[in-house]
Amino acid sequence: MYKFTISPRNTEKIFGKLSLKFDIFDVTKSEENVIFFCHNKDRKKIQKTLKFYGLSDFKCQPVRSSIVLSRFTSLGILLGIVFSAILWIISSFFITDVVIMGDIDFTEQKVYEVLSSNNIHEFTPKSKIDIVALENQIQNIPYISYVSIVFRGNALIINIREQLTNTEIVDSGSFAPIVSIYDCMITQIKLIQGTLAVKAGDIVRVGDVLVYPYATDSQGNTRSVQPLADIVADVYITTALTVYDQRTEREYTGNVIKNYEITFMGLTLFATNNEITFSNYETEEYTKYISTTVLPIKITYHNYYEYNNVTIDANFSENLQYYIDKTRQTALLNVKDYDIIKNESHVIRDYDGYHVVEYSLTVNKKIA
Amino acid sequence: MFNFFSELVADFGLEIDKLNSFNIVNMSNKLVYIEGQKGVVKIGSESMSIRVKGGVVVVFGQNLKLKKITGTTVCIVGEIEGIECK
Repeated sequence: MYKFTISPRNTEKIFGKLSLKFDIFDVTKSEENVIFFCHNKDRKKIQKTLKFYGLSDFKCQPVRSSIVLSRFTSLGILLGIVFSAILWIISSFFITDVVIMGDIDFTEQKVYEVLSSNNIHEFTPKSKIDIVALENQIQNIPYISYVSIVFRGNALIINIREQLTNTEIVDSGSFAPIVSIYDCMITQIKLIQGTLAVKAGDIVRVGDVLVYPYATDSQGNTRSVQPLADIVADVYITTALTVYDQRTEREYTGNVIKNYEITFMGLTLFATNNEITFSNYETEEYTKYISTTVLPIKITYHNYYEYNNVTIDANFSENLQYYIDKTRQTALLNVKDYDIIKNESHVIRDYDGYHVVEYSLTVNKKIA
Repeated sequence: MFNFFSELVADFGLEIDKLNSFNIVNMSNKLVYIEGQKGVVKIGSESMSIRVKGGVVVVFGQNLKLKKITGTTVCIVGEIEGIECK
């Protein structure tokens, strides 16, 4: 909007003419002047019309909204858009970021070295980057099996895949020997590669080496190899069970006394206080949140279970078979389905106040 | 397009050439809307005269103000006391 201030001469005639072509607003007439408003688009034409009718001493000024619209909105935004567009166009000719992606463990530094040697960094013109040549250079870095380079927006994306680690190459010379994990007697050996440390009939202990991780060729040269062998042995499995003549066990009576306590931020709001009348009892305690939404109100339960200590006589001699079977079951836990039990035996040792049942199995099993 | 005056003419079966006449609306003596103006004759805070087809419409009142003038309409606001068609 523009505000016009004109002299009060020929006002009616002027408005008669103006109103035929333009929209005029808020006409205020006083003895000194006449004030009216018009649209921005009509300003210049109205000025011409006023001059045409001999009114050259008028004032024309933008009202506040017009200043904003005309000076800032129209011109400022237009300039901003143009400036942004120019910046965007210019920046599109450069890379602003270099991104290395993919399975990268130990080649990233090498890739950066290649980029640096090609003088590729942020704000390097895209036209100066030869993607094919760069791919070839990076492809030549050891342990890189695949490389792909693309421009995505203003970023240079380098996608890399490293070669899969070959353990036989990387760990060359550092193979571990095959060692025994049982006390056993070797019954059968079939060496695949490596050097045998034992022979059939040898008795070995846990940790003894069975096959060394090297081989000697026809020229007498020793080289490191993965030790491989099929070894079958008689494994001695022994388990023991100690049975005391008398033992004390807890026998729960089923009587329970329960207390609970409601707390808020550590402050007790309410608590029950039932007296514990048991002479022997076990305590159980757990806490729950009553409200998990806003207020951290907790309820803590205290349960007291009564029990009596009961002395149990083992009656070892009467229950001997039970204890032997129990010990045997424990020993059988170490036997797999395809193991062959060659021999089994048990020994009873009596001591003062207790007995020990030992059960031995001789199992023929594959140990390597 | 809907036109209030055209609707009135149709509803009451009047034979009026709307293009060559004028219409006046007075809203609560606060606003006078004149359609079919042919020019401003007088502008004043106590009276305003608007030329229309076949005469002049004079609006009397206090603190009168020409709120808007377009090619065919005039809107006058203020304390309207009377309207006279001459």
